[in-house]
Amino acid sequence: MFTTVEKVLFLQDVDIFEQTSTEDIARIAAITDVISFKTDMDIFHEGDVPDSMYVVLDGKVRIHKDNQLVMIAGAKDFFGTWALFDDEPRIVTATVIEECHVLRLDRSDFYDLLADHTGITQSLLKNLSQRLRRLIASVSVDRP
Amino acid sequence: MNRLLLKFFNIQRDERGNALIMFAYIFLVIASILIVKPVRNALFLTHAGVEQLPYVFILVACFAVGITYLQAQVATRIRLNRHILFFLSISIGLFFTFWIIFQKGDYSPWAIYLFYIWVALFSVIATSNFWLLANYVFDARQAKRLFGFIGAGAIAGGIFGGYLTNLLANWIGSINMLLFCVLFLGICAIIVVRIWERGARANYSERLVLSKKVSAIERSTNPFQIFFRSRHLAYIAGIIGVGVIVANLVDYQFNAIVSQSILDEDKLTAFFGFWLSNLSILSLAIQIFLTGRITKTFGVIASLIFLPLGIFLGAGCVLVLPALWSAVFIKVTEGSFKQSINRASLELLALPIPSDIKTQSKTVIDVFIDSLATGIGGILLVVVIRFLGFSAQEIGLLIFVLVALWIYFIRLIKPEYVDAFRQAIKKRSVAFEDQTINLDDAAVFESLSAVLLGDNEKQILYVLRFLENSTNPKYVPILKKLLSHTSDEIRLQVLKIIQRFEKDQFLPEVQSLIGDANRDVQVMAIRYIYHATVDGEEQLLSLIQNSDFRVCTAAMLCAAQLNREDSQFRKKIDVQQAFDRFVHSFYENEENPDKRRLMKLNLADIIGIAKDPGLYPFLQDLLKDKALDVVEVAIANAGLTQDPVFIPDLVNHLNTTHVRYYARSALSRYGKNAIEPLRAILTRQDIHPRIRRGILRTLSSIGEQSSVESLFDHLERADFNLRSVIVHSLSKLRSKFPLLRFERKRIENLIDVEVSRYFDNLTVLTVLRTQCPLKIPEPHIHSSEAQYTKVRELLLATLEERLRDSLEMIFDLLGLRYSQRDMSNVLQAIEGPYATQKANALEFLENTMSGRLKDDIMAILDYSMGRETFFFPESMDSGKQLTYVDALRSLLDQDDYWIVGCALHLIAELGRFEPLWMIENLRRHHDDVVRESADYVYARIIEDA
Repeated sequence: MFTTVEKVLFLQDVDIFEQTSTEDIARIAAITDVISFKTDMDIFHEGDVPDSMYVVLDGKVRIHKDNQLVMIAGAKDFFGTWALFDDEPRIVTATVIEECHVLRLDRSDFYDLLADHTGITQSLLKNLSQRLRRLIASVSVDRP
Repeated sequence: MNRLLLKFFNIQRDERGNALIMFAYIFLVIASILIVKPVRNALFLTHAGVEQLPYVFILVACFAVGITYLQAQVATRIRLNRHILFFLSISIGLFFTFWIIFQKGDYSPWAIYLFYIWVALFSVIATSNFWLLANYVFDARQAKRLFGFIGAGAIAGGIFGGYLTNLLANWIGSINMLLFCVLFLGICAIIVVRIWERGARANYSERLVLSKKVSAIERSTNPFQIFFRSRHLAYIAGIIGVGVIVANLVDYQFNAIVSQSILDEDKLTAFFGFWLSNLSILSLAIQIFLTGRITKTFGVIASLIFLPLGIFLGAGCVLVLPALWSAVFIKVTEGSFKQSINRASLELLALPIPSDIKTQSKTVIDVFIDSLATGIGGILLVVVIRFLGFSAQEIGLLIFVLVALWIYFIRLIKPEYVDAFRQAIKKRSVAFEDQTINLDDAAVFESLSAVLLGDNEKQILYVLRFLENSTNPKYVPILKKLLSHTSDEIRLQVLKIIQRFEKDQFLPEVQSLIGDANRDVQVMAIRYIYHATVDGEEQLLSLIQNSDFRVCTAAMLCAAQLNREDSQFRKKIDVQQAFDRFVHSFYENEENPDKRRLMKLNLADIIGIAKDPGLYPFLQDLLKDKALDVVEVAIANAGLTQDPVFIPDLVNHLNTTHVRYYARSALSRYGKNAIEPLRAILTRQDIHPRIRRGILRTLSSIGEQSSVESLFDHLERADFNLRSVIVHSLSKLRSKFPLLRFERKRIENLIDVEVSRYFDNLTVLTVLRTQCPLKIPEPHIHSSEAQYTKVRELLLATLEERLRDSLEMIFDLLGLRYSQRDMSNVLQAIEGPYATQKANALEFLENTMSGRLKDDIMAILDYSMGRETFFFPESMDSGKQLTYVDALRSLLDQDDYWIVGCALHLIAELGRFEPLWMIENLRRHHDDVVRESADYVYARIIEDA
């Protein structure tokens, strides 16, 4: 059983929350569930309707597409983040390769939270705009 | 009376009071003007002489610019009602003073000149103040309907004031007429107080907020530049300017000839009163019987020529036969045409100009062009009379030249007008709410019908808004065509428009829309059929019993609307019975859960619209439904009914995931009726924190003084989280409803408390940062160096965040005490990256605040800006004697539960803590985070032990 503070220590490392205050992360932590998965179980499949994002608490998860490895997610790694923001189907599959606990953040609960706490929305927008700026800067640097 | 007002002026029952009061107000203002003007003219001509008139014209122009500027400055600083009352008090005082002066027989030139100038300024400001107030009493749509009725008050006041002067001036003496004016203005002051409380106050407050939002954009443009950018506007200004110069010349001719014919002051006053009244009657007659026909028959441009042609004819008469009748003829022609045909044509001419530009240009035209033209008129008179030796009738020659220039401007404006109109429709920049478009005008019809028959949906919808109050038969074929348009919105809008047209004109087309795919279109079509057919009730009842669920639902919704709006309908059709039958035939027999859910959604809408208490139990059931979308719609409809019976359910839904927001906005709809029940719930200790937060946020959207009091009452006993919600809510209330009162002493006390909390947190942060070891001081079985570091960093980061939150809260509170915008700008500057802005912000605060509050705030800002000058104020404890364990203990006593949670986790990492009872107590805390953290620490310390 994880306390809210312990969940916050995990969620703090998720890059989309890097602009979010610790208390707002605690609010997000309060709506997450800890779920256990056995080895070889699929957390989601490519093409699934996205409904949640995940943070690995312990164990390992293989993220792959057409049997091509995309990444191995270990403790404190996160995946399925964009499920929070768009309705596009999953583009990868997540399979457990070592029995694990993950923190699951449900999209509809997350939106409900955003409706009540504008500070979280602001921090997410700030984060996304910073990413865009960085992306634009990197594109213009790469261009001859 | 009600029927009369409704039939002739389209005044609704709830508007009657305000409309009548405003009618009385303008009646008295114009009557006063029509009393003082004849007195002024007679006094001036008798004691100063007609040859002085050109000079006084120039002086009036100069004073007008100064006074209008001064008035504009006052208007931005003083609330409108105070500003008008101030002006009325000054006017009463001045007219009374002039009465005393003239009563004593003192007709010295300065008094005569000042009186002339003051009457000229009074006439302009008094009417302008009235229309300014009227704009706050009525919204744009009401204004469109009611300003005709109120304008009739102005005409009636003109007739009354002029005839009163004509009747009484000879009897009681023209000077004593000023006492009537004093009396009338006194009544006006009482009216202003009454009307302000009857609704103008609330509208003023609302628009003050809006104007704050747009003022920055408006200020960015130089108002003179817009005349250089638009030839259309420049020509309008030219036409108005030449018109004002000519009016001054006509005024001079009239006064000169009259003063030669009538020498007695009182008879002169009576004469002016009589003709000014006649002029008002003639204007009214032309306005009622001719203006509409002339503008429709000849179009806008040709209508503009009536006034200059009339003046041309009058000037010719004066030139050939300089007698009293010809002087009266030219004056009456000029005055009556100017107030009727010419004014209406100028309004139509200005129609294509976007409203923001129109507002800017109106100021320039009213103040600058008018005054400049008046001044030029005066100078021209001085030149032609003094230097060229023209007699009064020879001034007609100058009028001929100016009329030629006037007509030249009218000729130039025609292509500009048509082009501007096309552009305006294309850009959708004509403000249809505050305009009365002449839909018969050829250019207008051509432009509108081209758009309506085009394929741009947005433009069609935009143009349809113009036709909302029209029943012009020219548009019938186009509207019929649009009833089969593919866009739901267009079909719906057309159905709304045709409800006003002659009955059954559209019946075949509308009947085909009963089965339309869009529910709103169906409802509106059934509504049309109900009104347009003789057996509307039977048709509606048969549609309610239709076997098609969709048709039946639309008919029920239509019946619900009519039930709410029309008491006659309620007598004829029992909606409750129809609803029961509807539920019985469809809902109860339906087994498909999806269809049942859809029916529930429609049933909720029907109840919300009907507002029939007999149906409320069903809605209460829907509020407890399992499907969230049904609950959501039920909540919205409960809010529509505004019935107190739903408040407990709505409050409970403040804690229901996914529908909290809807519950809050439904409760907000109750307005002040929700405040007492919500306040009562807030006093209960057993309510969920989320419900408490939801109630507090609801109060922030109800602009009542009792909302402010409820929030303040709760603030004093709230924990950190609620405090921040309440302060934010108060801040929102202040920004949305600037006229609410916020008790200064109470705010200052709250700022004091917040400042102490800031320094308490700063003390703890300083102690923890400097004294709490970077590595675990005494490793234990659960210790992990990495985890310890992370938890320590989390606590420090949280404390830093808290300092920022506290700073924002302090500035929100300062915004309740000082100017909200200034405080927000100061905070932005302080948190921003620019050193100059920070320095300016500090300088501003230095000069705005005083005493200990200033010292404390400056110390906080020194710290938050990382300045070397930072020091703990003498009144605060710098915490030099504290250890980091003391600091942690003090954190456990805080009402900021997130900080307590973080502190408890650091204690768990440290592995030791005393006294343990503090943690044991926290294991029974009502906050989840605190309780679980205390359990966590306790388990680890006990295990370690």
